Amino acid sequence: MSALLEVEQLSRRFGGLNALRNVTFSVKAGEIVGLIGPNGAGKTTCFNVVSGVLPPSDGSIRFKGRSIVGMKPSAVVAEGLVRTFQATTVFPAASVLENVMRGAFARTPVSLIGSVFNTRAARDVLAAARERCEGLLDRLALARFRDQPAGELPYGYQRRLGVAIALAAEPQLLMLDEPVAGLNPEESAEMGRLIETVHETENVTVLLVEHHMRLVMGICDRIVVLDHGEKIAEGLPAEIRADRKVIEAYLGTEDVT
Amino acid sequence: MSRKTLGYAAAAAGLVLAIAVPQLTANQFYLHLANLALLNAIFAMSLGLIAAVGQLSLGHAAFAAIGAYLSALGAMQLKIPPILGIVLAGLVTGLLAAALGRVILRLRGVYFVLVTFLVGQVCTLVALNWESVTRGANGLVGIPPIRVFDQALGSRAYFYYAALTAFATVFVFIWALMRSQYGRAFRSIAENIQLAESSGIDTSRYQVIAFALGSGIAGAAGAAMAHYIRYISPDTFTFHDSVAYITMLVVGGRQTLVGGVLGAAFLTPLPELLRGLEGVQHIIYGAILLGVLLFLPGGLASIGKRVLRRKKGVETPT
Repeated sequence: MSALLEVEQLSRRFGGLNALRNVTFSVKAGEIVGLIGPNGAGKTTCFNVVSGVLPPSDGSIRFKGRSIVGMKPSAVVAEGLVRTFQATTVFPAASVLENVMRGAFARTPVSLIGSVFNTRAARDVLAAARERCEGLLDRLALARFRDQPAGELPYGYQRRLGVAIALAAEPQLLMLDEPVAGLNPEESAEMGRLIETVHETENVTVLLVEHHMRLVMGICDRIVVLDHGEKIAEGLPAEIRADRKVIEAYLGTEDVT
Repeated sequence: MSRKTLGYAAAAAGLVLAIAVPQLTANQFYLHLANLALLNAIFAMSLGLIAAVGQLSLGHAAFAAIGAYLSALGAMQLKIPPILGIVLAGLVTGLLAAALGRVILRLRGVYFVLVTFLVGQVCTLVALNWESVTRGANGLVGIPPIRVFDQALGSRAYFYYAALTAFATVFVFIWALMRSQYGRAFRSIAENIQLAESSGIDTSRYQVIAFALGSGIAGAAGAAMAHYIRYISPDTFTFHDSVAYITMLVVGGRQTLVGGVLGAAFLTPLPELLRGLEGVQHIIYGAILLGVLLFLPGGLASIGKRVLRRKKGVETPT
């Protein structure tokens, strides 16, 4: 079975710093893959390069077998690869429904001229998109906030809305950047359940960057570990937990004094 | 639903009133002010279109000047009919802005503001120094007036109707645009450009579209101004005018389309009312701007909403 996302020999340099060095990994359709590593390991850089926010210095990124290197992030979204952000997750002044409608922009196939003249066809497409978005809000338990400005939602729900915005673009691969950063233990557990749920109901493959070990070990099928910009391990959660190199990367070696 | 009906009713009432203006007064000076207010409203609304993607242009008057010179020169040297010239000037100015925008819209915030300021200064310098074409500081004199069916719209009352038509066209166009998926893209970019891009909105493309449309409309309105006052020089559209459009937009309310119109209607006649207070005009201008920023961040357009809210005693989402 060919992989949904194939990252090969990916490198990214900032001046003299090798933020990523020859990183190779892949994500198969239907998996939940975790990307972990200590602070400064290059996880976020990896995310930014794969989603098109930063160009790679070297290497290839193939999505559904096609290279996506050099595409704008918006074009990558249209291909079916959508990401969330750690901090800026919502459009604060817009209503919750409007947030999700914006997320669905790439999947609202209305001719822009048609939408200026508000033609019948454009109205129908927009009505269908709205219905789809309201269904999504229902499934993500956000429907009761529908008309509230997103900025007024409790923080945990803003993170949840961030996931909803990404899902509105109907991704095949959903990339979550630290989805539980800043959440309390209950909220984190809830977010973990949400990720597992949408993995099922929305039929998406998930790649997530996360610090929260319990979450990663609990929901991921496979884990990729980065340290100092290089991949140091890859495997099942149980294997990663026992991997010597991983333990050293997180805790340091014994002979360091 | 009732809000929508209210909006249509207000627009219809405004239109009827606007059509009646020349019948209400024969005073040529008031008509002149009304004409200027209509053109200024177009400038402020088109600037609002650029502001809708979260960018502030300090070179808006420069695009008005480019349109004005293009149409004036076209009419004087190539005998292009002014009405056609105004449309062409708008198109060419819009294309120029699109080309420029592709480069400078990579900047955001204060950097974009600074670059548009420089663009404005460069345009003024070109108009001053390219004497073989622009006649330098003397300007272009005797620009032909707009003609409709062989009838020159030389009189202020006739021009008023032309300006009102242009104003209504621009108003409806921007209203329809902002209601469409374009408007959704623009607002997303203004609010959170990173998230907009990762929601599949091509942020650089939509910023160029907003900048080109806004600047193009300013170019056409600048051309209309040239055929109205029939004279243009490097002093006609300067940095001060760019600032004046921003002031109109902010005082009126930059969140709504009506804001720019209210700002233009309020601030255009103001210098005339304050004529007796030579020297303190600018202080009063500044005080009004500050007062609005401090006490009425939504501008004049938000007064009605505020009053309504107070009456109802509930917070209505805006």
